[in-house]
Amino acid sequence: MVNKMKKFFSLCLAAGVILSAVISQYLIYFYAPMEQTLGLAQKIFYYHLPVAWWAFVSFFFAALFGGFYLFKKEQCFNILSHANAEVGFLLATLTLITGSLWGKHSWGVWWTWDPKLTTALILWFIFASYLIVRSMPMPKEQKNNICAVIAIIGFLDVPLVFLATRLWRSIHPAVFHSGGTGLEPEMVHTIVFCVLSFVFLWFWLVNYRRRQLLQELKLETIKTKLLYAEEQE
Amino acid sequence: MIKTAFLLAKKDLTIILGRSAGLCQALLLGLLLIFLFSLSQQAGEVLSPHSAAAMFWLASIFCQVLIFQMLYALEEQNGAKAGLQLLPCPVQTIWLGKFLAGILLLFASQLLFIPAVFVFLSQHLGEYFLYSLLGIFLTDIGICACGSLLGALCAGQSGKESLLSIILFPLLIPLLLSAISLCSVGLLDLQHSFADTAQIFQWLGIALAFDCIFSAVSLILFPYLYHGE
Amino acid sequence: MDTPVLTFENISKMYDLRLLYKNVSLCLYPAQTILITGKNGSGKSTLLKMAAELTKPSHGKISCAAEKEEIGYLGHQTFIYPHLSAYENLYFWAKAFQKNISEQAVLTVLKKVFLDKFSHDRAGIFSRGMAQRLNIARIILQEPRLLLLDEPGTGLDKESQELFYSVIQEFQAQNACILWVSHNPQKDMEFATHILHIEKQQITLTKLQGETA
Repeated sequence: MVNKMKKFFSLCLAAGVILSAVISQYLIYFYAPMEQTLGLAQKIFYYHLPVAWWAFVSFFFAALFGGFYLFKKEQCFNILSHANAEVGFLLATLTLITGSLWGKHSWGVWWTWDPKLTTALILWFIFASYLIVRSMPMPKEQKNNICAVIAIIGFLDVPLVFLATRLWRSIHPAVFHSGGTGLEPEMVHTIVFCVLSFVFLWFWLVNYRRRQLLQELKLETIKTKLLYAEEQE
Repeated sequence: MIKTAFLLAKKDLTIILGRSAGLCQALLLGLLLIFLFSLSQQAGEVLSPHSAAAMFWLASIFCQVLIFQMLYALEEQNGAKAGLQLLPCPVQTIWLGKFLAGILLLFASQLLFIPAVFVFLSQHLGEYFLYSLLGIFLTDIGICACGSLLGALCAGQSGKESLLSIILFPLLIPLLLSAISLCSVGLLDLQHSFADTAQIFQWLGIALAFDCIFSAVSLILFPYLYHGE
Repeated sequence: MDTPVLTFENISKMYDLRLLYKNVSLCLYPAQTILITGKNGSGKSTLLKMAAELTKPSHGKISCAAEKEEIGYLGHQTFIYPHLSAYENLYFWAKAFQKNISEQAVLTVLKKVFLDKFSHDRAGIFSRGMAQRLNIARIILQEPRLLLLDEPGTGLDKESQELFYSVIQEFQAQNACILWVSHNPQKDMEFATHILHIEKQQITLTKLQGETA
């Protein structure tokens, strides 16, 4: 019964992912009008914003579940934190790439000291080191603790980074105007749909990774059990 | 707890200052960084206070990474870490002890780096230098709070040499931005002769917020990093 | 009988996905010397670590009547800072364990472990035997009620070994409870009052009919 429910749920999720992807593409290319100055390149925006938002959400959950793990010592929290950190890192990488392309096209540079950009980059760095620690050979519990701590302090750093970079930038002359605020209503509809419908893909990714990690843990547990059962006979 | 923390700090300072050449390495690295950067100046050119301040802090954080690696490596040699964990006081005492030893060593190194910035990077003292001193003090607290927490994380790991830096540096960026801004107002700037006092206070606020958040977080999270097993 | 020094109530312990102990209960009293035996990796050291509160059990409760400063730990690792002198090492650990001791007391103990000539030499130059004698001196100064020994005898010469046994006997005379993981159980058996055997995630405690009991 539970298995059937799970199967039904994953089917719904898959349908959601496919449907939302198709509708988004339609909205992006046919519904939203072409930007006059930027042209086709402006379409990056519709990919950039959803990945950026959901990367941030993933990092938030990675820190939150990390905290739960330290507090409760339940493996499921550790796995959720790990899965969110990995998905968040993937999305943050995409954010930086799409953001850079956008920046090159609209401001003429690959990189600028923009608060949002810098915050994203710093989160990317911190979670890169998180993934490095994940791959290091050391006792499981210690590794889980260290990773949880990195996720928490990394996320707590975000508001400070944002404030500091905003203040920093105001010292230098503002060379570039950040993206146009006067969006057409069709553009707004499209972007809102893209960001919200991304929840399907995001959830599917995190859940998939969670199940993989859970199975890995189960396998390892069985393996150690067999290993030491043999030794004792 | 405080008493034991002072005892630990005293022990660490005795070893590092009196018995080994560990701090000298860190000092030399910092001085070399400042000197090497002075090569980027062309003859007759004066480096902007911003660049000079950035160099000063680059030297300081590299030095600080070495200091905290050294402080935590002391406990690994003969398993003294386990001995410290057995002490009849909260584990946070170790964090506090290392923090105190680390911040004193960092102050000592900066006493050397400050003149180096004036000599090698040809800077002059400006009128707001008291704010800079306050900025250095607040920044050092934040840097050492993080260093003491993450030093524990990297102690006894293989490949720890670079691990500490790659976790620490991104984390410290807001603090470093504030430190660089605060230090540059203390240096005489030939291009912009004014400094915005309101902005100085905003930077001090960010540094203070960083100190508070990361000291509190360290005290809460340290036991998870520096426990047995 | 006296109140127990250390009680384990339904302890289970996982170490890296592996179950080391399953619902184990245990009660230890003063003046007992318990020799722990079992295969490699059966969790002997983990038992000591749990007693010292260095690691928490996965389930169950451990209560210890001894205060934290009264738990002494003597392992094959010496806790010695090589850059400090023998005297400074002892003084630091005694202070850290909140003992108010005089300079004279430290020197007396150093004499007892035959290190008085080297008291102001850096401990880094010490041989294995000398370093372990210094470690023993640290434990003497600490005066523990519960003493945890994790193979402290490895690599000791005859003289150091005799000193170690005489120190153990002194602790026994002071009614300390001793938990002992040994690398040489045959030899150490004569000092023990009990044997604690670990097998298949369970422990069995047997009393020995020895003269020291």
